[in-house]
Amino acid sequence: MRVGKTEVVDTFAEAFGMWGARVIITADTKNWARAAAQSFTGFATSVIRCKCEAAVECEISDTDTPDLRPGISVLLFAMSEKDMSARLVERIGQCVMTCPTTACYNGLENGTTVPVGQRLRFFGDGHQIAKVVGGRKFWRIPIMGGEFLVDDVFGVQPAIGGGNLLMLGRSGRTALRAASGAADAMRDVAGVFLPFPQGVVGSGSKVGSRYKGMIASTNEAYCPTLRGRVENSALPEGIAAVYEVVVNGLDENALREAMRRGIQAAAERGVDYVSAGNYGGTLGQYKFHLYELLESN
Amino acid sequence: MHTELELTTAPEVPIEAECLSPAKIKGLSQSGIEHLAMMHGNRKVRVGDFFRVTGNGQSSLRLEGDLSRVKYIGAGMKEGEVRVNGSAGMHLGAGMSGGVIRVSGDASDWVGPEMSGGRIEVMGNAGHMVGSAYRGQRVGIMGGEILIHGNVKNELGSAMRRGLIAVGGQAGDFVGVNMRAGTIVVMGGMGIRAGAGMVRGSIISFEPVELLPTFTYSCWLRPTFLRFYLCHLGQSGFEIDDDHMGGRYRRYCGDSVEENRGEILVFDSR
Amino acid sequence: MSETKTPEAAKDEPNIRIVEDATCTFCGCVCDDMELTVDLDANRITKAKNACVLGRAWFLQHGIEDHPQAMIDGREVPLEEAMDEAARILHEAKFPITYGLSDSPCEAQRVAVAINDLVLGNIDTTTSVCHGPSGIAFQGVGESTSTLGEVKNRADLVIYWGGNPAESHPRHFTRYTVTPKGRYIPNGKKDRYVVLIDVRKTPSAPVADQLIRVKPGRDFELLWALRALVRGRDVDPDIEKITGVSREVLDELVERMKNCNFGVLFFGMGLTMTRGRHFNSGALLALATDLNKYTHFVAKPVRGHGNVTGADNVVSWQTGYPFGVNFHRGYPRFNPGEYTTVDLLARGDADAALMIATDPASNFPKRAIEHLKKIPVISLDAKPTYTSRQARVAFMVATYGINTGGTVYRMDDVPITLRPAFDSPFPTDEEVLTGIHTRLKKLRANGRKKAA
Repeated sequence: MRVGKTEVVDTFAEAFGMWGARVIITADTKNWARAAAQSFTGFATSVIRCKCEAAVECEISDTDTPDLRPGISVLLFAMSEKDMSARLVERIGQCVMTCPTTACYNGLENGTTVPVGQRLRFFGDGHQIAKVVGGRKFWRIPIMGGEFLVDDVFGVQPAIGGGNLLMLGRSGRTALRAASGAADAMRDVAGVFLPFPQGVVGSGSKVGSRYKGMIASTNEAYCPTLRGRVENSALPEGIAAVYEVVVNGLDENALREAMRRGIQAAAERGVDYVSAGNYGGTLGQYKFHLYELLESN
Repeated sequence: MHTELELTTAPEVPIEAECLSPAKIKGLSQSGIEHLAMMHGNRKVRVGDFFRVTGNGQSSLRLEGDLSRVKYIGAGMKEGEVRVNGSAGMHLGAGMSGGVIRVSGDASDWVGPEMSGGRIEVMGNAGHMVGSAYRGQRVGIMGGEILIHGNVKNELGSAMRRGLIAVGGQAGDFVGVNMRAGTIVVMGGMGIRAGAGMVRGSIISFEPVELLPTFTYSCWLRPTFLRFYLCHLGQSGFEIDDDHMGGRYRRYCGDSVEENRGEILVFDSR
Repeated sequence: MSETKTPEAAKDEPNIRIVEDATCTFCGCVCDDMELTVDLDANRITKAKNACVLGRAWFLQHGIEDHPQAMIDGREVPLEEAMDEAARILHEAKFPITYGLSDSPCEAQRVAVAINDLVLGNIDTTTSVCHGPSGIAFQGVGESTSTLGEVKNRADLVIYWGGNPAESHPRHFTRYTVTPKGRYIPNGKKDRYVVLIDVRKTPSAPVADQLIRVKPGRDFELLWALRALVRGRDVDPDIEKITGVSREVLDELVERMKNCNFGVLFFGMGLTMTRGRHFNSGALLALATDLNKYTHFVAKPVRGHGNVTGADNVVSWQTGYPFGVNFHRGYPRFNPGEYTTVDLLARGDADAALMIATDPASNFPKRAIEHLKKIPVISLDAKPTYTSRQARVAFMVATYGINTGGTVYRMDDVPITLRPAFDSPFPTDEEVLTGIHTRLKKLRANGRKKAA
């Protein structure tokens, strides 16, 4: 199917079930909130080695946060409920609590919860104070900068990770411009985040490797330099670079909308092909057919 | 849909009416409600002797008239709503664990004693022992919210262990005496000896307070957690100005005759 | 044992009687070592040996007045008729209250409780306006206590807080706490250190080794500071500005309290009836409890009325609570503030009142008195009072301790037997109350028959 000058390949993106949480970080100023969020989302591109995936969802104005200070909403996904608690405790403890003037709130009202403040409170060494207001329990932990506030538990819900689009370009520049344009368009959708740098992956991977101990390795079918070298190359002739945009979402609809916008944005930038990564439909619970996404519009 | 009860006969002596609670009337017919028993002094009487009942038993109850001599309205309620258009007598919502009570006028002494959940809102004033323990009990309220828009008298929140009590006007002496934990916000100033014997918990005053000699100044701060509470109170109909929301508070810890883990936060207008 | 004998000197005049070991019920000391000389012709006590100035006045001024035994609306009626009327009032009332009791023997108090149990009434004693706060505090923080005998034999540190016994309980010092020699206090006053804590210099001050003057209304702050210091905590450096007592004096007192062998804190209405009330008593009781970590320390209220302690004991024994007890639901409920007389009268709750040996019409707040005027009142008193003059039914009763026997409790909860000096034409409290109780039982039984 052609959209403008772009050929959309008849394939599907294969995505996986994960667990997701929304973390609201507030601070006295927008800059400190950003600093905490940046630290919080660092080294969180892929569960393969980072144990979780996280990125900023959006900034929140000081009229809409729980404590009426400037805030940032961050999404964090991991593979299990238990992992969620561990990752949240690590990252809130090390990256948010350590950042001056911050407080950290749960941003998911529904669903099951995992202990977070409940475990972080021990940093207070016996001087921590529990508070309950409107049915919400949080902890006040005395720190050198004053007090750090964190919700006792955070809501977690089943979520989807690994939604993706592949941008194939006859020039590397075209492919990258399309990928980053798509990433920008996708990021605007509420409930999704793009865990990789600027949303774009330069080294997409496949599952497994010839080497023992490697759970993922380079995706040779999409490596331009291996066209001709490998038998399973998926690249048409003349493709110079492939960039992947990876997107995770709290629910299927958000993910669909993000991917649809991503395809549109890429097409507007005249990329040669838009494709998607899958494993033949055998591994992931979710399939996003690119044609279906476009037709649903 | 709600059930309406209008007090048509003024009681000669106080009435005790635990039956004026959603759980007790829900599902009853109009005459079933009229036949519910109350105490009029030492006599057993029926609801219908004093109230005109309209409608059958719903989970929402509306009471009309001057009920300032009707005790135990909404006592022990777990869910539903009681709305009093007028004033309410003693022991309003005693021991309640859920649901909402709203009083458009004044309430008397012992509002929500030993409650564990739910919410009581009083638009007017209330008396002594709001949100307190009964005499002889070691622990007062275990949770829930009591919001008084007017003034209250002594021993607000005595021995409370959890929950939120907010007073828009003035409070008397011994605010939060012997409190175990929980939060008390008083916006219009309070009497002396606040927090006497407190173990843990927070007492917040928007006005200057004379403190006991067993409280120690720690620092001033702009408490983030308080913003959380004040937002919550702002949503519940209290007027919170920006000064109080973002301003400085002097923090005192005490009571040193106890564990010294409580705090009194006093708004510092500078 | 009560002994009535005719001494040698009185042989010529057989109408003189000597009563030994009589008991004075004027104040809570309840001294039981009186020797009364009674002129039986004149129905007068002519001499009260061992009595203090207050006790002498109590005994010597007592006479038999010419007054009807019973009146209804100020009109003299037979006793029986008055009891009928009283029973009718209580039977018909929806919120009958009983108040007073602190100047009646325990036997009468017991009947008063029974009446309230029967009519589903509300019983309260004068404790609610004097040491009621202490009653609340006992329940709240407990009480480290002893008898006055123990104080006499052991106490080497005696502290009076908010009381002036030299004027209110003149023999407290000489019989129990300051001058007497005890088993472990062989030299009496020399072995004791006496501290007086009060807002002003009272006539009790000369007895004390040390007077500590606290700023009026600052007792709680001072007690709280002492508690903190006893626990080794610091207090506000402005403590002298707050309480009027310097840190040095406090530190010295704390050391003295921790290091004594047996300390006692006596407290009076200067503490219980000033701002803070039951918290003041509670703070003092808690201080005594705290001090037991270091030494033996007790606290005792100095009670005023002759048998107010008995009222606490009898009402507690029968209902489980000391005062402010309500029977509307057939079982006792305790709630000071709700069931205490001043409060419920001020709110206009009661619709009939039984006032026993008390005069609320003269000493209650105005709003309470106003309501009292609107409802039928039954009064029992040994003398005409404002209350009895306004009462619907007024009984004139014999004076306990002088004309009638019975049991009273000393302020340290020790029961003491009364030895009357001479007879009175008036009935006793117990007789009147028992008469009312008997009638009430009949009325209740008839009511049940009718209902059946």
